[in-house]
Amino acid sequence: MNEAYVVNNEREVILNVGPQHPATHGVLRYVVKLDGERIVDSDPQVGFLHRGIEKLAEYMTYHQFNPYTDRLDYLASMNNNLAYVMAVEKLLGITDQIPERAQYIRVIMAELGRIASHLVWLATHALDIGAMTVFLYSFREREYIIDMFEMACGNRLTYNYIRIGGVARDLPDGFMDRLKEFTKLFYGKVKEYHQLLTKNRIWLKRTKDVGYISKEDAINYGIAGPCTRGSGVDWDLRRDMPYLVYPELNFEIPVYDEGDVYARYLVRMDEMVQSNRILEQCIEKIPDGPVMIDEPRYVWEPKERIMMNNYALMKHFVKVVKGFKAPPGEVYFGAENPKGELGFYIYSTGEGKPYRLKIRAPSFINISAMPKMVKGGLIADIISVIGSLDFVFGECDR
Amino acid sequence: MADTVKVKINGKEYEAKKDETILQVARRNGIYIPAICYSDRFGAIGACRICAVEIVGMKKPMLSCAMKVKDGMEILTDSEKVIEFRKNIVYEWDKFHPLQCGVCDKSGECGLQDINYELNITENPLEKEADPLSVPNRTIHYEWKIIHHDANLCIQCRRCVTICDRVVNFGILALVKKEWGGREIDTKDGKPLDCEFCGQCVSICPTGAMSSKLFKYKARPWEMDKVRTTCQFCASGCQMDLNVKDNKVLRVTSEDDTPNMANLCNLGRFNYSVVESKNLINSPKVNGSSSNLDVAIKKAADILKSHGPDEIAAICGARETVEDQLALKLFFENAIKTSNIDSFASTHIGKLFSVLPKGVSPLNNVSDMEECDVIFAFGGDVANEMPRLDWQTTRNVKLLKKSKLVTAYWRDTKIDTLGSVALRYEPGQEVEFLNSLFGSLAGALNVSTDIKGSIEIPEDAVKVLSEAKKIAFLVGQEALERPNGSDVALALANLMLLFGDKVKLYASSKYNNSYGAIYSGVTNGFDLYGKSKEKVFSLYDLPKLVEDGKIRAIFLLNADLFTIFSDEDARKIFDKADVIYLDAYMSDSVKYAKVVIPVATFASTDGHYVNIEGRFNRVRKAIDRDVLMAKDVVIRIAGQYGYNLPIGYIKEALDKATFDLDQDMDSFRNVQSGGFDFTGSLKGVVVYSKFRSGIFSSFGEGASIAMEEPVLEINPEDAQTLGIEDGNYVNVEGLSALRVKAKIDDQMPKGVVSIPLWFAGYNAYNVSGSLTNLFSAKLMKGE
Repeated sequence: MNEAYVVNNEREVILNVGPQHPATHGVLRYVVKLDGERIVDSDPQVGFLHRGIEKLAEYMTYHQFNPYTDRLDYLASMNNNLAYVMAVEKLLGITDQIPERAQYIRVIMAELGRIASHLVWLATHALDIGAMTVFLYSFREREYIIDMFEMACGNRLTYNYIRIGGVARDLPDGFMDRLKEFTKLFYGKVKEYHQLLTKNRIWLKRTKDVGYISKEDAINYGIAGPCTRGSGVDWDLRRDMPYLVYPELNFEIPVYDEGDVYARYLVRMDEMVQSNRILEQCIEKIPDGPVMIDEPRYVWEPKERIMMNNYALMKHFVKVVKGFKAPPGEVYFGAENPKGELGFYIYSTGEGKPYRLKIRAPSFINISAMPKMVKGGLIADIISVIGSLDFVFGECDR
Repeated sequence: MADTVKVKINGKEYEAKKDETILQVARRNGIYIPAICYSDRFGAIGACRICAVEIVGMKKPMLSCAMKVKDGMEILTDSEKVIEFRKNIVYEWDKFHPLQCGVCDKSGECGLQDINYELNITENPLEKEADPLSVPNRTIHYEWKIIHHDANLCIQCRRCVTICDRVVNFGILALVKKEWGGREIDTKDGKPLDCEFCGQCVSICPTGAMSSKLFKYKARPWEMDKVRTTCQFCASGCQMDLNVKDNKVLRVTSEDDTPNMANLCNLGRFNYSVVESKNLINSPKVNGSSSNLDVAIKKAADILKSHGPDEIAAICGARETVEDQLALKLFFENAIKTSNIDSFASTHIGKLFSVLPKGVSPLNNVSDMEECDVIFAFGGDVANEMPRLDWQTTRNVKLLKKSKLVTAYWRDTKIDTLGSVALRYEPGQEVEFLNSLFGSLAGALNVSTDIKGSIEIPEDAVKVLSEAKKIAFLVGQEALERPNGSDVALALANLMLLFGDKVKLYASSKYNNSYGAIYSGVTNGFDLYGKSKEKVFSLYDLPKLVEDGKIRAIFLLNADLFTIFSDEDARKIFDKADVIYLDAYMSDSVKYAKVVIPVATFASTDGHYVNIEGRFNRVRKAIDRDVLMAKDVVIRIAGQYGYNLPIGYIKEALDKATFDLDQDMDSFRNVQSGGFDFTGSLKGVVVYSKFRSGIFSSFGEGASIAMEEPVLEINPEDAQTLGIEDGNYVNVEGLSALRVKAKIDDQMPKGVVSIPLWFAGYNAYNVSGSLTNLFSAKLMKGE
């Protein structure tokens, strides 16, 4: 039995936090063993939002599963699309053939998604600790991004735009103008957030030296993304295992060595700025051209061709009903998501459906390091640690 | 080893048996070679040429389905040369293929679409030179029943021709030369299709050329949910998928991985509409008027309570699930405290299973028939009684050429066309015939016995049978249902005992769960798990027991008495006894029963059927209907008794799932039975039809279109004497008159006529008398 559930002396008390609790960011049940206000031991329990997405994937064609990835980290749907689609493309061996314009659009969407996700993190993290104003500010900027997503794909939640072989359609008119406007404006907004929090005494008291995890522990627990970079691990998949057009873009990876909640806060704040830099470069560099590869074996052909050409129609039926035949084999692809490394492992037996699909969910792995972070701290630290780990239960429970 | 060879496929070395084809070796090792015309169900045809592979050192690509492996062969399955070869074939198919994918039923599961996708064909060079207007219009057979054939969609892979010939052994289809210069699939004689309407050709067609008229334009393949269940029309236990959309069964399919290898007969494939026919009982009835369930259950319990335990009897129709039967048995034995239970299984396999000889293997996998070098088909037409045995026999004899066939029946049947040693006897002479065969075989096998008969047995039959290493006994239901059926069973047991453990028994049954009725002990003479016990109450005695006032209340579970008794006998029973009747379908019993409670059809039931192999097959609920399952009704009636069925009783009984049959017969018994006394010159036989299984089967479209009305089969000479022509209506005089259509069949022996069972509004037992299938026929030409 887990130590967190065993009371050793009369001073110790076991307390349930969640699963219904405003600060648990979803349905986390967090069991803590307390000695007074000190946390002796703790155990996070997950699975309340389990929907069996990995199993569902075994019963769908590769195209059909794409929208299901929206429901993982629903704050950054397009980033999930991207990771999944890139994994399938790696399986199909068409990664190199993706048109450059599509790659730039994907980067734009990924970075916008990162900013949107970080803004929600910032808002809720600050709200949990008691800073209401930040919540209003950051949701104001997030609205800009959501509007842009709506322009591109029609949805304000579960925005699904990235497809196997490219993106669903070209960017709509006026999108780039909105994006330019946003990038120009956003630097100033980040400054506002800094003014509200970074030197704020209450904020510092609640975050500095709280939820510490060392560099070694961070690596051993396998936690990823901003959480490790707050512990001095200089690792970012966009730079270290590059994909899309990231190698052509100029950006820095913010790293802080302190390993506490405050360090993780600073990492994300800096990341938003870097993402904005990437967006600016994308606006400059994005070329014209197709946004979808021309490979009728795997991707949807244009409707006009399906209506005119019997062979396109025949193949369309096969692709819709049985799914395209992926070559047999196994692949893993991990993308740098706002929460960390989101990886898809696909095992294909050559059928139209994956034989097994495994999702490496960063939220799940980050939560596993929580007992280490809060041990010996105060009960109120749980709230700031939860905020700083920035997990989403759609992804954690899958 | 001498009989294994080594071959290289795509650069990797594999071991193969000497007589295997390249395709078999490749598939066994998971290497994909496309094949359109090849199927495991019937082997290679060599028509489509898509399975061509390159063999290093050979100029032309070779067909992998037909080419045997040789030592050191180097095979390339997807070299450029092969792909080009395959593409050229597909171009040819596509050239004139109509642009109808959008409206074709087959879209989404079409072999032609698949191969086009696989070869990634985007345009067709042949189309440029082809003039679409020059394409001759090919025939569309609107006039065929049930099956729709559009020759325009056909790619001439000959799968339908082959399955009809090699699996069904009917062989009505062929590639026929047409006026426009090319060839088309058509019937050999050019007449509208008149066959078994099993739809095997529909199931195997890679394109939409062969399709089901009953399913046409109802749904697209991807819209339907497939529910794997067990067929309800005979005890073969064929596994099939009900294709359900919007709570309706729209078609039935089966997959290659099923024990029946995707083969289904007319009833299984096309008769699914029984489950939503107009003839379902919708509401409970008490004394003939509609009522509600609570009242009906209360009334049923009151009727049962008002009689003493020994005055109550239950009869199972052997069509309900094992769960239902177990519930009934427990209710009767523990709450009512009587063991007056019998089932329709006691009319046939019950007789045989109570005299099982030592050593004989009574329950065998149908596919294990392939181990037998001799198949002895006795006493029935397998094609009519159990198509799955027919297919397996065909496979053994025609395709695998492993077995010799000996048939013993009173007429020639379809399996005789496989090439058999045909033994013939007159209807009613079964015991005499079996004794004669026993006598001759005992002589050949050096067993001393004084049993012998007067019928001459040909030498070659004795030779084939006595030299058998493993022998499959296919026992017809018809022979066991003769008036002297118990003696037939005993004479047959003698014969089987002679062969001892060489025998694999396959006793056919038209009742889908008659083996379950033996297992769950609801059959006279059998206890739970098929153990034998003292015979208490027999179905055969029912009219007499009711007449004498010994039985006053009868509980019928799916057992329509009008399907085993003549109208007169059945009505007497209903007059004198209080009957509680549980069934899903309308029947005459519904009219006369005191209490009628509707139960779920097989498509709305969860449970198990036990098939001829002794296998417990799942029946799954596919459509929702607001009707209880039979076991739940029984449980509720038991509740009125204050009796709760022990929790887990079904699980305990099902977990065992093996029969404890007593095989205690170890010595020959001399059976003498006079046979049936025919008066007059014509012998009448009641036979099973392949288009019917129970009265309710005539409520479905598939069976009723295939065979609309009962047909009397008669020899041409007899017909001439009586002045009857093909298609005339004939009045059969027996116990009461019956009007049927005459069909002149030269396979019928002289002096014998046959009428089928189970048509709505018609009871063959009115002629032959209850529970008998022989009668002296007097025919009158009707108008």
